Amino acid sequence: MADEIKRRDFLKLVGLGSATAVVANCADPVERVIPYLVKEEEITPGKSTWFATVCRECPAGCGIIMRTREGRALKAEGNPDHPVNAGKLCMRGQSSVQNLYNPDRLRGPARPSNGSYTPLAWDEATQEFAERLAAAKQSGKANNVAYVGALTPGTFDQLVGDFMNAVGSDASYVYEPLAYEPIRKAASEVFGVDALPKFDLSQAETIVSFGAQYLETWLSPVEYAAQFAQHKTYENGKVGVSYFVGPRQSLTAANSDKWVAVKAGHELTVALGVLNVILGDNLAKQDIGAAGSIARDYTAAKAAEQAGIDEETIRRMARRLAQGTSIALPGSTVANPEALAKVVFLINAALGNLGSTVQFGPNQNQGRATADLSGLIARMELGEIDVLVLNDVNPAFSLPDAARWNEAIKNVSYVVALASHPTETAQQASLVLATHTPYEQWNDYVPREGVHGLLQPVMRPLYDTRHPGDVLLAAARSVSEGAGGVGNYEDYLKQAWQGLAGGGNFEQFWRESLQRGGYFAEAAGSTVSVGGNVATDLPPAPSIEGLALVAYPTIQWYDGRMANTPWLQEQPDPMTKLSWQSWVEVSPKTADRLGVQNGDVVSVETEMGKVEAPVYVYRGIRDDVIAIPIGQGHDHSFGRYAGEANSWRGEIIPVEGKRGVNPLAILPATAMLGAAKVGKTGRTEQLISSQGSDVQDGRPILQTIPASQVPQFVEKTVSHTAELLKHDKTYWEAGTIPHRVAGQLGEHPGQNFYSEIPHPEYRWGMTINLQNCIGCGACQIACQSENNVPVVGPELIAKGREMSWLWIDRYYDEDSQDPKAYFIPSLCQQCTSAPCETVCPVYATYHNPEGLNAQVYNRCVGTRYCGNNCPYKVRRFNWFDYAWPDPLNLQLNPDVAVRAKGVMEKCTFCVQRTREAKDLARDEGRMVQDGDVTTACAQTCPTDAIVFGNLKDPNSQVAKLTGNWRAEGGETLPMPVENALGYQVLVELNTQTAVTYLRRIVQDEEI
Amino acid sequence: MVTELTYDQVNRDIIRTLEKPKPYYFLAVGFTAILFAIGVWAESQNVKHGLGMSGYMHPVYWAFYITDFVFWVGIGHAGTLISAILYLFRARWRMSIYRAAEAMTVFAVMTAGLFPLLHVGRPWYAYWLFPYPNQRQLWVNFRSPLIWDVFAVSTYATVSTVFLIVGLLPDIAAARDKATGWRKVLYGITSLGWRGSSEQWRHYTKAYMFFAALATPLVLSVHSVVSWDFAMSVVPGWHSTIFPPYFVAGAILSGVAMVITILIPLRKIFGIEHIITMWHFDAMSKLLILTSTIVGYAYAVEFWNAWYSGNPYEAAHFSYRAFGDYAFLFWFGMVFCNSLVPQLLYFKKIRNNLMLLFIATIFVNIGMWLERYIIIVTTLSHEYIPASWGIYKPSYIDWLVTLGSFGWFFTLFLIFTKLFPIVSINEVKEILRPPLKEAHK
Repeated sequence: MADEIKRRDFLKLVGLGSATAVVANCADPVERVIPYLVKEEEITPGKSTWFATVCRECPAGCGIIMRTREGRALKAEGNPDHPVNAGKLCMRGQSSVQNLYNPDRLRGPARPSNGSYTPLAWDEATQEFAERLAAAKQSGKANNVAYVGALTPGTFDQLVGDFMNAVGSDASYVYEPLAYEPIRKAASEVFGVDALPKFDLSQAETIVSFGAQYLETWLSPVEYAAQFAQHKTYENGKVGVSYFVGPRQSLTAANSDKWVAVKAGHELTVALGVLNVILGDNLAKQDIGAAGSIARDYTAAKAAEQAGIDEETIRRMARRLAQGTSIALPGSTVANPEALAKVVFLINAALGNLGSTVQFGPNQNQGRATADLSGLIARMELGEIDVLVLNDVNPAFSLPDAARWNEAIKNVSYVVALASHPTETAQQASLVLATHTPYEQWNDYVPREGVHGLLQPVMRPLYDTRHPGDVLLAAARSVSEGAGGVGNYEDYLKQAWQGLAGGGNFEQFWRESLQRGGYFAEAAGSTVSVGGNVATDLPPAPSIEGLALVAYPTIQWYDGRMANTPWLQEQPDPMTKLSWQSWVEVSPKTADRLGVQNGDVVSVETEMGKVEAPVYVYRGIRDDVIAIPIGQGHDHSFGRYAGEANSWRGEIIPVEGKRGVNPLAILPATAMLGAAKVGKTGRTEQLISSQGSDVQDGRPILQTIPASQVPQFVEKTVSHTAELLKHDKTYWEAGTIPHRVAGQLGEHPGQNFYSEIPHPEYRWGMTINLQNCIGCGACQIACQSENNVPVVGPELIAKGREMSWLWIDRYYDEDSQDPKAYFIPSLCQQCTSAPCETVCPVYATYHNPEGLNAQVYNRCVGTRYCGNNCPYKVRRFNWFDYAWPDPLNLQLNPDVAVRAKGVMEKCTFCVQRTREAKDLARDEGRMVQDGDVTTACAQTCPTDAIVFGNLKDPNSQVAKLTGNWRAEGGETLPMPVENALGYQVLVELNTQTAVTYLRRIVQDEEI
Repeated sequence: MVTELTYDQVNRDIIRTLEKPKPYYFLAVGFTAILFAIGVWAESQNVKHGLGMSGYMHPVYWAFYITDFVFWVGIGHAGTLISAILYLFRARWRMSIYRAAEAMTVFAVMTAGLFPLLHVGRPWYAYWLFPYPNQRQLWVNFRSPLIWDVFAVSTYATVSTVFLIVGLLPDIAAARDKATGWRKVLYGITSLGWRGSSEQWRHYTKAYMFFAALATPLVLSVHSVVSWDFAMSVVPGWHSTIFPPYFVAGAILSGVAMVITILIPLRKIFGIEHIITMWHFDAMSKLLILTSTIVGYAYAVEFWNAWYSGNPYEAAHFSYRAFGDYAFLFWFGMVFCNSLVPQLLYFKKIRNNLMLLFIATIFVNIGMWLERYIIIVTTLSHEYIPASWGIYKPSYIDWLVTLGSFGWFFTLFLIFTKLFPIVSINEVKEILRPPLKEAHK
C-alpha cells in the first residue's frame, strides 16, 4: 500500500500543479525594469532606494531626495543636507514627479503642427538641425543663430557658451517670466555689486515686504518660509512683526501681522515714505549719503496720500524697522521694480541691515542675467535670425501679446525647441527635440554661491528622449569639430566638477557629492556700502484712473509652467480656495458697485486686450483693484489637464477650449498691472471651491491668543496642572493625551461608555503649531503623493467630492475689521474615543493598539455612517473608480492600496511609514526612536508646524509638545510656552484626539 | 352602515374584487412596473460606475436613499398599528381596513428594505451586515445602530408578513370555495387546508391574538431603532433623546395618511364604499390629528431644547434649519404639511369631505418625506466644522431611484389587490349583526 498515492497527497499535487500553471501564465514578459545607476545587486525588491537630485520647478534650486522602488521614482522629498531647503519642499516640488510621469510628455523628436506632434527619428532630426546650423553659420550673417533658455546657473550655462561659440553667434538669452533682474540691477547701481543678495528673515524682528511674496513665489520660498517660522517664534515675551505692502492680500500678506493695502503700483511710494521717515526722524543707523535724497519729496503724509493709506502706518513701519534687527524686501512683480529695489536697498542700508539680514556674498541666482527679450524680438521681426534654439522656455504663453513674439517668430526661418513637455512655444517650432526631464538628467544647479546642487537620473528615461546637453553638444560638434571636448554631457559635467574637487580623489568626491546631493561650501561674505552715484530721479508711479488690474503668480501655478500637473490644478488656491479655473478678484464693495456676485463672468479690458473670467468676491483686495492669477489660459496644446476638461465618472476628459485666462496677455511685460474696465457678460460660471464657510461662526476650531496674554495663560496652565498632579501623581502616564478644556491643561477626560483601549508600545500622535502654519499646502500634495489620493477633476470638486486626506481650511477673523485670514490643516484626528468606530457595522474602522483609527478598505461596505458621525469631517468616500492615465500610474506608492469605488478612506498617519520603521527597529531589536519616522506632511512642512511621533515616549518631541510632561519627585518641570498653548478641536465631544493644535499668537499691540 | 350588510353580501362584494381585471388595471400595473424598471436602471448606474452617480457629496453622505428608507419604514407602521394594536383595543372600525393597511405595511417594508442595500457603496457585500459564521472569523459590530437596524427591520418584516398571511387564511378559503381554474389551485394551496372547523377557528383566534401581542411592541421598536441611527450619533440636530417617540409618532402619521390616500380611490374602484365607509375615514382622521399634534410638538421641543441646552452647535443647527439654505422645505414640509394641515381635520366638514381629506393626506405624505429629508440632509450640511459645510443637490439618479421605489411598491400592491381579498371577509363578518330569525324575513 505504500506506493499508493493517498487522497491528501493527490490533492496536494493537483493544487501544486495548477498553481504552477497559473503562475507560469501570469508572469509578465521580461522587461528591464531596474535601470539603476548603482549596482543592481544592491537593489532589494520592496525596499526603497533614495537618490539625491535638485528640484527644477522654479529657480530656487531646492535639494531633493527621490524615493524609488524597483526602478520607479515615487516621491520627492527635500534633501536634508541641502543648504537651501534643509529637507523641505513646497507643493510644486512635491508634485514634480507628476511632471516626470506626465501623460502628455513628448515621447521623441517630432514635427509640430496644429496642436499635435508628428514623430521623427532622432537621426533625421539631429541631421536636419545640424544642416540648418551649418547653413546659418555659412551664410555670413552675424549673430543669426539665437538661443533662449531657462535659468540654468551652473555647468549648463558653460555648455551654452560653448554652443554659441561653435555656431559663431552671441545672441544667447536667459528667459524667466518671473525674473529678479530689476533687483540685481538695483544692487548694481546702489552697491556696485551685480548680484542678488542673500536675505535672512530668521533673525529679523521686523519684516517689511514691499510686494515680495516670499512665502509663495519670490526667490526661494521654502527657505524663506522656514526663516519666517523662526521669525515668528515666541521668545522672551515677543514675536516678530511683519508687514506686507501690496494692493491685494497674498498668502504672504495673510501671514503678515499687517497687510498695508496700497493702491496698485504704489509699493515704491510707500517705500519712499518709509525711507523719508527713517532719515527725517533720525532713525537711521548708517549714513547713506546723498542717495537718501531720493526720498526727499516723499514725506509720510504725501506718500500716504498718494498710496491711499494711513500716514501713521508709514511712520509705524519706519519706527518698527528701526527697532532691533529688521529687513525690508523688494518685490519683483510690481510696478517700477528697479526703483523699488533701489529704495528698499537704501532702507536696509540706512538701518544697518547690510551684512546681517541682507548679505552680499553668498549671492543668489548666480549665472547669467535673465534678459528682456524685446531686442531679440525686434531682430526676429526683421528676419535677422535664421535659427532660433529654444530650451525649456515658453515665451509664447508668458509674454504679453503686445510683445509681438507670436508675430516675430513667423519671420524666423528655423525654430528648434528643446522641450520635455508640449508647450505653446514648441508648437511654433519647426522641430521639437524631446528632452529628458530634470529627473532623468545629469546636471548641476547653483542657486547661490557655494551651493552646487547635483542632478542625477533617478530612473531610466521613460521615453525616447535625450539630454538637452547632449543635443547641444552634438549640434555644436556638427558645426565646429571638437566643440565642448569629448564625450557626452555627463563627461562634460564631470570635467567641470574637476575644479570643485580641488585636486583630491575625484571619484570619491563625485560619489560623495552624488550621495549628499551636491557640493556645498561656505562662500565668503563681502562688505558693501552705498555708492556715491545713485541716481535720485524716479520713474513716475502708474497713474490709474478707476480700476487697476493686477496679475499675480500663485503658489500652486507659479508662472503657469505647471498648468498640466493634475495635483497642482486641483490644489485649492490658499487664499480663495478655488482650483481648476481662473477668477477675477473683486472686493465686496466694488462687487456691489458693479452689480456682480460670485460666479458672474465679467470681461476685463485693458488697452492691450480683453479676457473673460468669473468673479470671486474677495475680502483681501482694495476697492480700486481687481486681480487675476497667472497660470491658466492654456489650451490642450499644453496638455490634457491644462486646457478645458470635464470630469465624469472619475475620469478627466479634455474638451475643446482653454482653461481660464492668462492675464499676462493683456498687461505690459514688466509691471503686471494696468488700468482695466470691467463689463458684465450676463453669463455665469460655477466657482470651483473646496471650502464651505469662510468664517468660523463663532466656533473655537481655529484658536488664537493675543501675544500680551500668553504669559498669564501659561502661568494659569502650569499652576492648574501642578494642582492636579498633587492629587493624582499617576495621572500623566506616558501616552496619555491631556484633555484640555478652555485652555486649561489637565481636566480629567470624561467617562467613556466603552472600556479604554490599551496602547502597549506605541501611541502615535501629532501636534500642529498654528503659529508656524502658513497655509502653503505643501503637506497636502505630500499626502496625495504618498497615499495615492486621486485627482477627481473640476466637476467633482465643484460638487464637493475632493478626496484629499489632509487640507488647509482658511478662516477670516469675524471680529476684525481687517480681512485677517488664518489657516488650519485639517486631517483625521485619530481619536482615542472615535465616533466613527462605534457606528461602523462591520468593523471596517477600528482602534488599533497604536492609537490609530485603522480603516480596512477590504472590509468596508460603504454605509458612510462613519463619515456622517465624524465631527471633523475628514473621511472621504470613493464615489467612483478614479483614473491615473498611463504613465501617471507608475507614481503610485506600492505600499499603499489604491482604493476601489464604494469604500471610505482617510488619513492613516502614514501607517506604511510607521510600519516600515517598526520593521527596521525590530530587526535591530529596539523600539522606534523619535526621529526614525515621520508622516509625509510633517516631513515636508517648510515651517515644521507639524510634528509627529510616539506619545508613549516621554522624550519625544511630540509628547513634549502635546503637554505630556511629567512631574519628577513631585516637582513640575518648567513648561515650554508652546506646550501650554495646545488645544484639541471640539474637546467637549470627549473624542480625545491624538492631534493637538498649538494656538496661533496674534499681535494685539498697535502695529 | 357596515353592520347592516348580510354575510352573503360581504362574501360576494369582496370576492368580486378578485374578478378578472379590466384593461385599465393592466395599464396601471404596466405604468408602475415601468417606473420600477426605470428605478432598477438608475440603481444599476450606481452599481456600475459608483455612488457618485447620485447627488452625494462631502459632507452629505446620506441623502435621498436614507430619506426613502425612513419614509417607507414609516409608511409600514400604520398597518401593524391598525391590525395589531387596534385589534387588542377592540376598535371595531379597524375590521374593514386592516387588510389593506397590513398589505401596505408588508410592501412598504419590502420597499424600505431595498434602500439600505442600494445606498451602500458596495451593495454586493451588503450581506456582511448579517452576523453569520464564516471562515474569515469576521463578525459584525453590535455597537453600531445600523446592525440594530438590520435586526429591527428584518424582524418587523418577518412578523408583519406572517401576520398578514395568517389573517388571510379564512378569506383565501372563502375565495377558494367560489374560484375556478388556476385560482382554485392557487387558493387551494395557499389556504393551507382551511375548512372553517370550530377547532381551526379556536386555534386561529388564539394565534391571531398572540401575533397581535407580538407585533404591538414592534410598532414602537422598529421606528425607535431607525431613529437611533440618528440619535446615537454625535451630530448636532440628530443627537437627541426625543427622537424615538417623535419618529414613532411621525411614522404613524405618515402611515395612516398613506392608508387614507390608498383607500379613497380603492373603495371607489372596487365598489366597496358600503364596506369601507365614512366611519372609517372619520376614525383615521382623528388618528392623523393626534399624531400630527405629537409631531408638531416634537418639532417645537427640538427648537426649545436647542436653545435651552446652551449647546452652540445645536443652536446653530436649528437656526440653520429654519433660516438656512433649506428653510423653504422646513417651513413647507414640517410646519405647513405635517403640523398645520392635519389640524384642519378638527373640522368635521373637512374630514368628511373625501376630496379635501385626500388632498390633506397627500400633503402629509409629501411633508413626512420632506421631514426625513430635512433631518438628514440639512443636518449633515451644517455640522461642526464650518469650512466643511456644503449644500446638497440631488442628481437625476436619486429621483429615478425614488420614483422606482414607488413603482415597486404600487406594483406589488396592485397585484395583491387582484390576488387576495383586500378587505378581510371574516373580520368584517364579526361586526355584522348576527343573522337572527328576523334577518331571514
